[in-house]
Amino acid sequence: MLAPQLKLGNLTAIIDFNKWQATARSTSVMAMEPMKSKWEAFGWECREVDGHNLKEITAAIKSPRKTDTPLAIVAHTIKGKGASFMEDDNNWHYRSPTEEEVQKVRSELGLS
Amino acid sequence: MRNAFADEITQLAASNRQLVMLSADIGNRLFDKFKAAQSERFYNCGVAEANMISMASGLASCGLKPVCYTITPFITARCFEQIRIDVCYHNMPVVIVGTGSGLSYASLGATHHSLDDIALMRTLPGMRVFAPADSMELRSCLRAALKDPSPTYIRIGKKGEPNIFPSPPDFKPGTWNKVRSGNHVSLLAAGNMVPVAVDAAQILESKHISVQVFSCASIKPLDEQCLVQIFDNTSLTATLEEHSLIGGFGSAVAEWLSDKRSQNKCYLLRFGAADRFLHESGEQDHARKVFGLTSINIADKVIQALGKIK
Repeated sequence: MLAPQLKLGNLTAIIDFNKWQATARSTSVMAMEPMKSKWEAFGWECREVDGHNLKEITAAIKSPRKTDTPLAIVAHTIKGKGASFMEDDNNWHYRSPTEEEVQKVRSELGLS
Repeated sequence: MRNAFADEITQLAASNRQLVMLSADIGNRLFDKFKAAQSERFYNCGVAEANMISMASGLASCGLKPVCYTITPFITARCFEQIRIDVCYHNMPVVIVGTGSGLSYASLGATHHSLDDIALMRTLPGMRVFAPADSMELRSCLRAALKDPSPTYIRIGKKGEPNIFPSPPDFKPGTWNKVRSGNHVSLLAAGNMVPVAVDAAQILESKHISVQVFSCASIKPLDEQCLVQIFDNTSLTATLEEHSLIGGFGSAVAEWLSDKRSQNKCYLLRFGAADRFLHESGEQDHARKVFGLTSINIADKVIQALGKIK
């Protein structure tokens, strides 16, 4: 609320929106939707992107914006993206991978 | 004290380009001179104290010296996590000033009483806690707080407190100012209890009991040299504070005694607020009576304790 009040046109916030809370889906704990209109209601400009697409994120940051309004970018993400056995599985909010699992993820991500 | 704060901070801002003032929608007209002189360096953050503290930490990380100001419970208890993590964990040079501390706003009810702020703030690693006795000592505390790059909490009263010091006294973190000399009893008072301690000392003096009084504005760190002298040379020591007896200044002195002087017989009395909310409404004097924080009660209790020591 203070950022639009101070007309912080040089401030950008990125929301990693993975739709999970600690114990369940956000919609079944405390729903955050509608995310975009909430930010707008608080005086921010808001853009939505695929949080796994760097081109979209870069474009959202760089494309022209209002000069005296802070910008929120809602990045829609999937928790554990890219690791087949972790994707969208909230157990990984708590677990640490074993050495074997680390190797598997590295291999899936093309890191080894 | 709050007028002296506004005046001192305005003067300090004139020579310190890094100083930035943040308030949480309080002090109507109090900062008019500051705003007139430094309009770019005053932010009214609204009634959103947690955000104000996080913002101050961000400003400090950019090399600025933020000073945050509002009513004590709202700038301590309400935003404790932001002070703990955003300010103290990063050891940011943020100065947090709580006004109307202790029972200063007694008539406004328990929401505005602050009997837990010393306890909260002094548990935080790296945080210094100052409680000046009057407007003059407040000026000294403020100057000292801005000198070092450590987080600092300053607990001040409201307005119209009696003057103890004729001019800003010497003040260094970890040193206390003696405001009255004596050799039998030591009264260690924090903040706005110093005038009460002086009154109690006069009552005791009239009964031929010699009393020294210290303004213990530096609650964290304590003045350990002074404590050694006090417990070596006087028979009885009492702490006075407008704060809960749990976790405050008296607790800090008791902890010091337990850690450093367990082999000696040391007589310590602690005066402060009991472990309960004050539900009844009344002015500061009334609230002090309820908690036994009057010069007469303190003098009586000291006399009783001296009788037991003999």
